[in-house]
Amino acid sequence: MKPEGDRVGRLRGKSGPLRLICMRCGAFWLKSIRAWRLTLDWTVLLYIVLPGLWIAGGMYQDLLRHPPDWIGRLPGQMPVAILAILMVRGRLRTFAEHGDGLFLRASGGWVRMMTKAGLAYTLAARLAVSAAGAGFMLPLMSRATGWSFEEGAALALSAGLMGFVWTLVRDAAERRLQGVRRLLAVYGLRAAFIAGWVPAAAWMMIGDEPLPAATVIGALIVGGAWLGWRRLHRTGTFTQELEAEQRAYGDNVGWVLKETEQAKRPPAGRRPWVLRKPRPLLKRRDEAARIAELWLRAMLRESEWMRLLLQFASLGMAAIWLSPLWLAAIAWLGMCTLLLLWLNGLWGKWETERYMALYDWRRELRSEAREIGRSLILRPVALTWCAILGLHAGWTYGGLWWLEVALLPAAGYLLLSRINRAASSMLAARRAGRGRPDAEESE
Amino acid sequence: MTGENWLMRAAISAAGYEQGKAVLRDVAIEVKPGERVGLLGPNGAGKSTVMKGLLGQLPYWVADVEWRGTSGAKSEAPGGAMNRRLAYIPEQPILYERFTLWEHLQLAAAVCGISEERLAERARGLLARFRLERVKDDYPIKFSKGMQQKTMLVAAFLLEPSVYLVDEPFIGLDPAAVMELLEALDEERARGAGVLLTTHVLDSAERLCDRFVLVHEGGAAASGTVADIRAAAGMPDGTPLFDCFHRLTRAAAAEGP
Repeated sequence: MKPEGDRVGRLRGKSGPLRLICMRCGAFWLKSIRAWRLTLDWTVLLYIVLPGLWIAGGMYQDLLRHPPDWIGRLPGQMPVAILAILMVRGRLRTFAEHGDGLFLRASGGWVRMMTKAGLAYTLAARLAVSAAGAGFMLPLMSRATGWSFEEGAALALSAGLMGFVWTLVRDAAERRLQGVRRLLAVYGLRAAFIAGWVPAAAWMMIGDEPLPAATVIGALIVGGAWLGWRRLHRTGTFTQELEAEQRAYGDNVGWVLKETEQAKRPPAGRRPWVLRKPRPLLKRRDEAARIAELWLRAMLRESEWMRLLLQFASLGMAAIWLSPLWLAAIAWLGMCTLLLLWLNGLWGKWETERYMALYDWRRELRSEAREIGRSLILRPVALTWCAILGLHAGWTYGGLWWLEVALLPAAGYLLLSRINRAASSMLAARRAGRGRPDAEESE
Repeated sequence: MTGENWLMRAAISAAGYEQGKAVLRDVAIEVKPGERVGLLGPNGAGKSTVMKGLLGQLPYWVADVEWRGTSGAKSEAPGGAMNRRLAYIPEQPILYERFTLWEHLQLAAAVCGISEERLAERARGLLARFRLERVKDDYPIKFSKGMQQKTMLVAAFLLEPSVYLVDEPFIGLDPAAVMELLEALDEERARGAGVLLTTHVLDSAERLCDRFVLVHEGGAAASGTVADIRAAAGMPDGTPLFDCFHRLTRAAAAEGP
């Protein structure tokens, strides 16, 4: 028979706060990995991810073996700024869960121990990320700036500590502020951290003297310890901790679970930032146009969709400007089709939102509204591409070719209407072919 | 089924969440103009299943559902989402994150063919009644549960349907809002609309409803007026619905499946 004390010790180990936070941390990463595997199944890994890594690794190796000239021209602040951007993405983790509110939060000892463990995890995570970032950049930068391993390690350490200080400052700001003010504060603080950190780190890296590096690292250690101590003794943090955990999970798996309820993020403010007032945007006021207008409002308020749209529009502009004219014209058509299909898919997803699905949509209304909605986004983007194509023609050939700047958008306008209408007919035919009278495609 | 003066009548043969697996059998419901019908039952009895079936949200649904002015043939997958014929007020508010309150109403109006003029006129009164005027340009997803529920009420009343399906109307609303809801429902009944409501609050149900359908373990244990329910439970006059409910569900449990 084992001694009693041993058994008590084992029981304490089983139910202690440290063990609990370790289990939660493990569960968090397991859950995240399971979510990633929804997208990264073995076929994606085998045919896309692994070849991609192989190619990227080869390119990186090639960069090291035969460094191009531009590497030498890179400013020394660049890796510092990249590390800073990586660092100010983090947040303080405590692995709090809703159920803690029942009993666990009543025990000060448990809460303190779990907070300590959370602080340690956050620090370790920041250091790991900065080490990985610096480790990736250092071989390249050693050629550009002549940095040594010690200098790189000092940069990684100080960046990790700065990241830790950032998480505590961010936590304090998010606890105090809500809505728009919180968002503005976080963005402002981010900018301030990057602006303050880049010159400090650049100063630290000047010359071979260890004093600047020791000063910066020492100051960050003192600052981090003081903020951590304050955070440890702060009460009333539970709600913020739960929200931070939810957002951390959303950040981790958002790209996979973008369409699911658990990864959805509520809007930041109480009121919309975009199109706050319900003033009509379209002259046409029939039911289909009213629905399309509502879709446009939702679309403009969805930052992720807007980001993708702007990226696609910018890439399209670059592709049209950089290609020969004949190829740019073909690219315009291809990109318009792609954009149209993407918008159609977005509409399909929007339409199946639970609130929209509450209502009995007439088939014709659904189809007409979708067509108007698509054109509301397709037109401005595609016509901008047309104008770029016209500019390209004028720039290349000069003279009367400059007229294309006005003529191509006009022709594009007419063509787009036809393309959009043709897409509606095609999608309707597909729907009829599938024999689902109430269903719409969402590809 | 009785008489021809009805707004909605449903004879549900089988319904469930998986094809061929019925969790609800042989339930008949009729809603007449101006009538409030209470769909009562313990947790898991099948009340929400009935609601979902009537809304066309069940994968397995074998029922004859008829609406006034329409005659639905026997259907396994009815399309019954909200329109001018039917409005649903769910127990848990269903909202869209990127719409303001006003935009929720705009969508409901546009999909259900209500003009903008009528929307403005009708919504003004409803927003005032439920004290939501000040927040009409705010995101309802940021409201309290009670205010979110009021948003759903306004969206439903806006449609002026023939039948209201109201799921647990007293949960999440403050007493003043419950009174407003009941008054608004009374006005709609005066217009000729019918109400089918589910609730656990039997005292309120007894006071509010004209007829009842008591669902227990996926079947109808009793239906009719309070007097009919008392008779079915073998209870004397004046016995509260609560006791009848208790007697009937206990008897059904004793009989077993």
